[in-house]
Parts: sequence; structure tokens; C-alpha cells
Amino acid sequence: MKFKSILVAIVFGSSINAQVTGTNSNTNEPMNTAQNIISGNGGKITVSGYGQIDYNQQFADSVRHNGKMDVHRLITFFGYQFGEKTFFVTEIEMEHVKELYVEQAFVQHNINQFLNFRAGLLLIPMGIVNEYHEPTTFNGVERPNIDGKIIPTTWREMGFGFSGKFNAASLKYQLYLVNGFLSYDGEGKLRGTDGFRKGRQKGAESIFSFPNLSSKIDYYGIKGLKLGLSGYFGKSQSTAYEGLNYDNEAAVSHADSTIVGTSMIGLDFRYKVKGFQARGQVIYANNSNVKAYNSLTGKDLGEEFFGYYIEAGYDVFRFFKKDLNLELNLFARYENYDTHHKVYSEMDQNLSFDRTDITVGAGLKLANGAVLKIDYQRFTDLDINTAERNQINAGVAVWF
Amino acid sequence: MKTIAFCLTLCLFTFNTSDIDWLSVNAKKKLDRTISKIWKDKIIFKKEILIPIEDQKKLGFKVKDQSLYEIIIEDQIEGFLFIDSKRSKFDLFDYMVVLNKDLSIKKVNILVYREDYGGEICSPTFLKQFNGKNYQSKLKLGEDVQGISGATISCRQSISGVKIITKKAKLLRENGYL
Repeated sequence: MKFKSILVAIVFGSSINAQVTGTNSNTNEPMNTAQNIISGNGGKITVSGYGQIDYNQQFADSVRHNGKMDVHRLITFFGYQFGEKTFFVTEIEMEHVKELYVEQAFVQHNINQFLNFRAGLLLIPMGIVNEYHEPTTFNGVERPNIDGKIIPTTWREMGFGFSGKFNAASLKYQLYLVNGFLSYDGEGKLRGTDGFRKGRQKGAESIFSFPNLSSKIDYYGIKGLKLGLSGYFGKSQSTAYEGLNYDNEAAVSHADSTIVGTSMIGLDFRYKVKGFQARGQVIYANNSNVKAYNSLTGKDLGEEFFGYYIEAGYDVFRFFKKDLNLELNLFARYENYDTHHKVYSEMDQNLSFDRTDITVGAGLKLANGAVLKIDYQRFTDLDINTAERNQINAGVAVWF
Repeated sequence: MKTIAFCLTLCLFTFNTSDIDWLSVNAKKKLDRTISKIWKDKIIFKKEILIPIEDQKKLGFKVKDQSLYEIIIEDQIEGFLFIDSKRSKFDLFDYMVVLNKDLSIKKVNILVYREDYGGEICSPTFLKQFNGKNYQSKLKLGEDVQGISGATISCRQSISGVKIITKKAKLLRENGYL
């Protein structure tokens, strides 16, 4: 009963909101809501969402492959405004229909334009897609693979920190203290093929033993261009420390071998002018204590990760009619990423982790926030025993 | 005595926004600064333009109280000031548009941007693109106005806001209010 009334309140609240904040006519009057917010009268709920529905079909090798049809992601955002300066945002995700996750849940308090405080489950600002992962904002049915194998998108952890803007300089900064990856919970979690991916704690009863620092600076002072510099520094977390006696040197030494230190640096750019768009990023990660970690856990984690991608696209409908509201973006992306960029001398470098992906495709933008996508991907790596893989993808992407 | 005279002069030079109740203190300060920067070393007055409700109905749009002003310098109307709010992804931002006498845009500024995402639209590089435009100007995102990645919704909304204001201004002029 209580749930029902909450649901009614949410739906009712959002419909009122939508009505008041309608956007595209001369008669709209957002002032009402503004005054409402400013005077702090009552709260305000916002509902938003995105969805990514995919079809993946591997083809052109010696064996048959079934296609995969997947409601990959369905997400609901709820925002709640507490008066003028404070709001709460949650992003709740249904993945592959059956998995439920919370991707963001934080309170933000705006102290002034230079300084906002944020706490809760936060997105780690690293590269482009981890923060801006709504499917209508990137080309291709699937996210770039660097944003998966090196940056474990969607990478989110618990913590707090500050963000702010210096408008005159066109700079934005973010600085957060968060909990790190879980590298050990009785067995090793981090591994060669996708580095930190299995170590994400996602705010689900996260273990905290050492704070990690995440930061990003964005510059947007040149028309159409956005540049980003991200950094992530810290140590992984481990259950091996729990209940450990400080005097027990052998146990402490064992526990010390279950954690990995990480420094990750990312550089990214996005450029869009007229119908042309380009973006790219370079990511480098350096891990310490890897030898001890691998020896103890039997894992094959690399010491250095390195990857980059470059992508360019063009809206070809511009040739036909300038005022057409449809867009057809043709794009190509080249990705190279290696999670065994460097390994310690006693370890065998796995060449199949040095991967190159080429993606070419098209996105038909039906309306702002609704895109039909199709692309072809070719995956190769440096291991001579690995066969080249070919795949076509098609999908629907929406964001509202 | 000198100090008092100095303070008096300073007060006179400063554009007075204290009577705009719905704006926050910081928004008022920013509005004040923006206007004072446009007309440096001038004594600037503003006078609210009030449109009767019946006339608003005839015009087909609302002009809220404390949202439209004449800018007066040395007894001459030098331009018009519109203040409004518009929605970003989750929240509203307050913005100002200063129009020249011919209703072309002199300056657009964001007074308060509340949410974190999309705040890049406060960048002068982005806002400068509106200068000189009027109700006839095309303002398509990515075409006539270059957006900022990661702030597309807010870019679009600010364009929409500016468009609405230039169109309102044109209709108000045609009906003899400006």
C-alpha cells in the first residue's frame, strides 16, 4: 500500500513537472517552477531514462554463431531537488533484463559555482564514456572496448568529493575520494584480460581499506572542442586485512600481497563542428605489487595497461537538406588496447591481450534522444593462434 | 566626506538589481556585473516593462513580473533586458539576454546553473556565439551554434531560450511595447 502511494506520488509529481517545464513553445512559463525551487517550496522529482537494445551477430569464420538479441540496458533516473542548492540523483539499471544495479546514487550540494560537494555512489571521471554513457551520446551499438577492458565502464564507487567550474577560464574540475577495486575476497579478482573489471565493487557492500583519489579536469574554451585530463591513484582493497592482528607479521605480509597499487591517467578530446565530429582518448595504467599479487592468487594481471582510440564521423544528410531534422552519422573508429602492455620479467606476455578493433557504422538520429544504429566490427589481436572475429551489430538507443 | 562621495558615486554606477525578488543574491550580482561591463562607467537605470494580463493573452505568451526591463542611460533607452529560466537535464538554470535597440542580441549570460552536468554552457566561448543574432537568425546546434560535448541538452535548451526571447521581443515591438 505504501509502495503504491509512493509510486502514485512519483508519477503524479513527474507529470506535474513535465507540464510546468515544457520547453518548446512561446507559451511555456518555467518561472513557476523556478520560483518554486528558489523559494524552496516543496520538493521536485525528475524522471529520466535511457535504453540500449542490441542485436549482435558474429559471422565469417569456420563455425556457426547464433546471434544475440538483448535488452542490454534499461535505466531510470530519479532526481529530487531539495530547495535551491541540494539535489539527489539515482540511476537504476536493469541489465540484460535480469540484473539490477544502481549506477549512481549521490547527494550534491552546490556551495557556489566554484565548489560543489557530492557524496554517495559516484561515477569515476575517467575518459569519455564512463561519465557520459548514455547510448545516444556515442557512436556504435556497443561502447568502445577500451571503456570496458581498461576503464571498467560503468565504473562507479562509493565516496565523496568536490567539483566546480571556472567559467572565465572554461575549466571544470572534479576531485573525489572513493573506495578502490576489490582485488581479493578469498581469491584474486583482478586479471589479465580485463584488468580491474571484476574488481569493481559497485557500492554493493563495498569493502573499504584504503582511499583512492579520482580527478578530472575538462577544458571547453575552444568552440566545438572539449579536452579532458583524468587521473586515478590508489590501492585496491582486500578482505585479507579483516580481523588481522597488527603483530602478526606473516599474516600482514600475506595480506599485503593481495592488494595492487594503481595509477591511471587518461587524456580525451571531443570535437564537433558542423556535421563533422571526432573524438579520441588515450589511457595508461601502471600497477604496482603485481608480482606478489599474481604469485599469491595465480592471476595474470599485467603491470601496465595502455590503450587508445580515435573516431571520426560525418552527418551525410547535410548534403541533401540542411534543415532536415534527421541525421545520418557515418563513422569509423580505430581502437588499440593492451592489458599486458608491460609484464614483469618472469611472466609471459599474453599477446592475445594486445587487441585492435575496427568499427565502421551508421547512426540514424530520428529525433533528439532516439537513434537507430548499425555497425560492423573486426576484432584482431597479436596472438597468431587467435582467429580474426567479425561481427555486425544493430540496435536502438534512446535517452530522455 | 570624500569617502561618502566615493561610495555615492559607486552606488550610482552600480546597476541596481535588488528589487528582482525571484533571483538569488549571486544571480543578482552576476546580472549587475554583466550589465555594468556592457556599459562601462555609465549610470544605468532599468525600468520594468509591464504587460497587462489581457494583452499577454492577445499576444499569446506570458511575460512574468520582473522578467523584462528597459535599460536607460542618460534618459535614453539603450536596450532591453530579459531574465528567464530554462531547464537543463534535471534542473532549471536562470539566464539573461540583453538586446540592443534593434532587438539584436548584445549579450547572453547564465546567472545560475544549478546542476553539475551541462554547466559548460556558462563558458563565454559558447555564449559569445549568440552576440549579434536576432529573431531571424538561424540558431541550429552544430550548425550555427557550436555545442559542447557532454552539455548537449543544456546547449539546446539555452538556444531554445534565446530563440523564445528574440521572438517575444519581436512580437512585443510589433505591438508597441518595446
